[in-house]
Amino acid sequence: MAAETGVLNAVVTGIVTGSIVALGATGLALVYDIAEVPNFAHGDLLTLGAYTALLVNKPDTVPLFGALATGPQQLGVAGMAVLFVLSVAGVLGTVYHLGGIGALRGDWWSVDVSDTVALVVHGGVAAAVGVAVALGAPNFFASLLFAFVLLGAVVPALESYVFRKFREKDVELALMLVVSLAVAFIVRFGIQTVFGGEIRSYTVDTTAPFLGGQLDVTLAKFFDIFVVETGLVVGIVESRAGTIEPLLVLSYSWLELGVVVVGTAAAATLASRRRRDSAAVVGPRLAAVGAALAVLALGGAAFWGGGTTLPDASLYATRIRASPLRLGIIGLALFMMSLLHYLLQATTLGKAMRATSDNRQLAMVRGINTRQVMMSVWIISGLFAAVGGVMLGFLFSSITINLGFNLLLAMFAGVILGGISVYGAILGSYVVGLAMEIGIFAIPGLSATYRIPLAFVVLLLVLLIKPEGIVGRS
Amino acid sequence: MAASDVVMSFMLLVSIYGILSLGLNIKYGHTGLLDFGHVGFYLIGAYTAALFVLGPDDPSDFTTYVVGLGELPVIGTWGTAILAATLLAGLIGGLVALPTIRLREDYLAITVLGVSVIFQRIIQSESWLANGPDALRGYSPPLQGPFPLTMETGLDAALFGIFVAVVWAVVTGGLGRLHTANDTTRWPVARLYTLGTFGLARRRGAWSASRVAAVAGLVAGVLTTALMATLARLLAVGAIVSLYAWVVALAFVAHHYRDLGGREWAVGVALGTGLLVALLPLPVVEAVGLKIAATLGLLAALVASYYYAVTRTEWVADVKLAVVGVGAMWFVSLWYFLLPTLGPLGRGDVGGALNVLVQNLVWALRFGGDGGIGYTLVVIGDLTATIDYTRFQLAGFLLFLAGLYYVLELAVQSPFGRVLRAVRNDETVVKSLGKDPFVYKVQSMVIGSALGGFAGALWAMYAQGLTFTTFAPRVTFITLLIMFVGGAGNNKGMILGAGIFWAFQQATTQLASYFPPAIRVNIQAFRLVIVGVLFLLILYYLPEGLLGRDDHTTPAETQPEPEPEATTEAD
Repeated sequence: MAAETGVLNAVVTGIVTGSIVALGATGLALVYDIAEVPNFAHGDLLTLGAYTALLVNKPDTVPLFGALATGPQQLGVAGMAVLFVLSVAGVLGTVYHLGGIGALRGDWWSVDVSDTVALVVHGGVAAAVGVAVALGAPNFFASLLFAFVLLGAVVPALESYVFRKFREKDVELALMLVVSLAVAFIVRFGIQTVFGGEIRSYTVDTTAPFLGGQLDVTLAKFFDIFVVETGLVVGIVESRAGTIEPLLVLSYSWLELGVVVVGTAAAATLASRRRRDSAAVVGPRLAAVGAALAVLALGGAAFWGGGTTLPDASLYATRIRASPLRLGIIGLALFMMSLLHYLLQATTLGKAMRATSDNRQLAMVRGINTRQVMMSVWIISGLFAAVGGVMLGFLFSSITINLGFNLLLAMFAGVILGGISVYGAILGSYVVGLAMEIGIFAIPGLSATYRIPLAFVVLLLVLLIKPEGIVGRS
Repeated sequence: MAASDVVMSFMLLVSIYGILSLGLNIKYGHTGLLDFGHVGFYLIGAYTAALFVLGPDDPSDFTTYVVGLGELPVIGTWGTAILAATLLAGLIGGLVALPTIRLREDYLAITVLGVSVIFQRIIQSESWLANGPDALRGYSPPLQGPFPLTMETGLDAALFGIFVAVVWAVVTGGLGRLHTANDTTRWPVARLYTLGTFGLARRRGAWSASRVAAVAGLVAGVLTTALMATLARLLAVGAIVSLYAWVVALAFVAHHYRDLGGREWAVGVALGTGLLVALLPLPVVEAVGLKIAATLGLLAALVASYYYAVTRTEWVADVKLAVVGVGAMWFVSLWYFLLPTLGPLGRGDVGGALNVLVQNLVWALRFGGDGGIGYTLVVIGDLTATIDYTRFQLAGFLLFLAGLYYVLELAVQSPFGRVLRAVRNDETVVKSLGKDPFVYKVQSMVIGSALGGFAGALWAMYAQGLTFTTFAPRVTFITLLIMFVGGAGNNKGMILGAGIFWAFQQATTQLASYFPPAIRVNIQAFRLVIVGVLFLLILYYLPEGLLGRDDHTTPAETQPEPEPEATTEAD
């Protein structure tokens, strides 16, 4: 028997949407919080990332640069050289923004090394990235890497050449908003000046070897969940030409489920007790979540009961529709966020960033290089924008100049919901994502066009009740 | 299309965006509320007006909308439609303000932007409301029937009379301000003013300049109607009205740049000519790549030499904005008067060149096309003159703009306007004086949004068809740009800003036609990049805008000699 999609499906879709929003919102929140720029151009930076990846993925469709292509998705030696030079410039430019030539000599490292060592390491990394991009083209990951390093160098330039100039004039926040709006205009139409108005997309081989067969990551799979009298049955199902084909069926008895639930709860409590230091990289809450997930996964695998058929009748059945790509985006977002978390909690730079966020004046008095902090914030914002933009372009399989701007409002909603802090923004993004998808599911007759408005209704409600945001400092 | 027709459609857009920016200026310039969702009220105004004048929905055709009031008497007219659009936009502006106005300025901007996007999405997805994603059409602007006028009926004469009355009143109003400024120019302003007001200027003691202008316009209108009904001298009257406007415009320019000496004028003229030369490769060079490279190179050279002159020469630096203004005007005059005559002159056809020149000089009339009164003049040749609907519509829009500007100036100078400025500068002061800033902020939002709705109704009339894509956040951006260019808090600046923005748009739209269709999208996008860069430069170097803040107060301490109230009004 086939199940229908229900609220659980909306929740999973909401988490995927939340992950996409979060990829953009973390950069936005960092800049908003520490550099004090409500950056309206951030959506267009995502678009810039998506278009930049086209240089590697489909060089033949890029104006001017396309002249160096030898065929569809193929580059000549000259084109590869250009990609190599651009990637090297991207890496070195990113480092340069951290403090000029000094940064290239290793000033920003937390260990003391000689200038030569730092220069060699920086040069080596840049060359490695350059070679990887030039030889890896038109691979998707090479494209992602290219966008990543290029935006890391381009985005902080906005701070150096635009926002810092205005900050030095001590303008009001309102004027900063207008300035960022003008930057957004320049970025968006700058992209259109080069790429024109047509809709573009990546050409990527989407099949991957999986369990001995081939798996198309963009094709949707169904996760059917049945509650039957004896327990729980989970089936991973593929729909081909109208017939339903179970790929994998997992069944659990009530006893097994009970054991897993109790084990999960126990692991979470234990982990939380052991980790009392909330300032550590893995704090009590994170430890609890991690331990719980680990036990849940272990338990699910251990009690993996046999069976290849789906039950004919059930007390309750629901279906989750998801493609490996969408689930992968959740994983990618979690990975990026844990990197950022590590950076913020465990490195000197991260501590400086948190201190600057708390009180810039005090941080300056204590000898923190706030300028370097500011630049690193913009670099991180650019790196996240590149990943977010490329993934967005891949997921939607159409790249237009409004790609990022359409998401900007959702990102702002997430950031403001979270009270303009990085961790708040991550939480806020998931709230926004869930609100959008569950709202569309739960309110009958509401078309999908209303996704963004729904995010705003949530934002408005929160602002009316708690104007400082859900985790904000009052 | 003659150059004057291009200018007419340009002026229509300037009026609409002028009113739209006046609304935003009330919110931000006067009260300090940063509204990033101004376009939402523009949208409400446009769709409300359209639904009021559309006929009842015909279920059998492809368009659907919730209600069409067009066939009802009085209610289904444009007057009611504009009024309803204004009121509804104001009401919704107030409702939006109630929960959001207490928020921090950045939160306010973002939430109101969200509200405007919600409005746009509602139009897009609710097909029953206003035809959903497809265009809402099927209505026509008011009084369009008799156009183009041929002066055969009394109605034609009356309509032409209305047109002349409005133009005459607006021009005379401008002349009146010039007259009040009362400085010594070589222009016979006083004598011209006496002539233009039909001697009414002598009543200056009792009447304000605006009242004199309004009555003079009325007299001119009645005279014209009478003259048309009896003699049908269309060309003569059109020429008089046009020349009057030209002379006043020249006097205005001479007054505005009275401090510039000969060498400063020369720099301005050189800049304008340089721009024209820089654009020469566009029509001349064939290869697209070379064309782009040559134009960009020459433009860069022009900007570089201007920059060099401003940074190295002191006397140029003192007048760096004035010379750009002179250069722009010189460029526009070359484009308007010289370029259209080049074609006939190149063929050795002096008569033809004069013909084109007369067509552009007598801007009040439309020449050529079907219908109109035929004239044959010595040397110049044949002319078919008429008044088309665009010019009549422009007269109406100008009247609205002038009227709203006048009312807003009164409001801004009133105690109410003073409280708004106090709210902008320091809310605590307002509170300590026993006024509730919240009330004033909501009132400011209502008035500003109502003006946005008014502009929307005019857009509906101008465009004769509405699609939701028109009402993108881009419009808010343009309005903000206009406001900051003109000077936030300065009502006159809104009209100047709208003029500058649309002049740039019109000029660059024409440039795009020199490129192959395939890359026109890129060229259109590139000019928006230029707009964005110029916006940043203005925000950085001229944060007060071209005209600066118009505070209507006399700062006693900073200025050793406080100027009397009358001069601030006239400036």
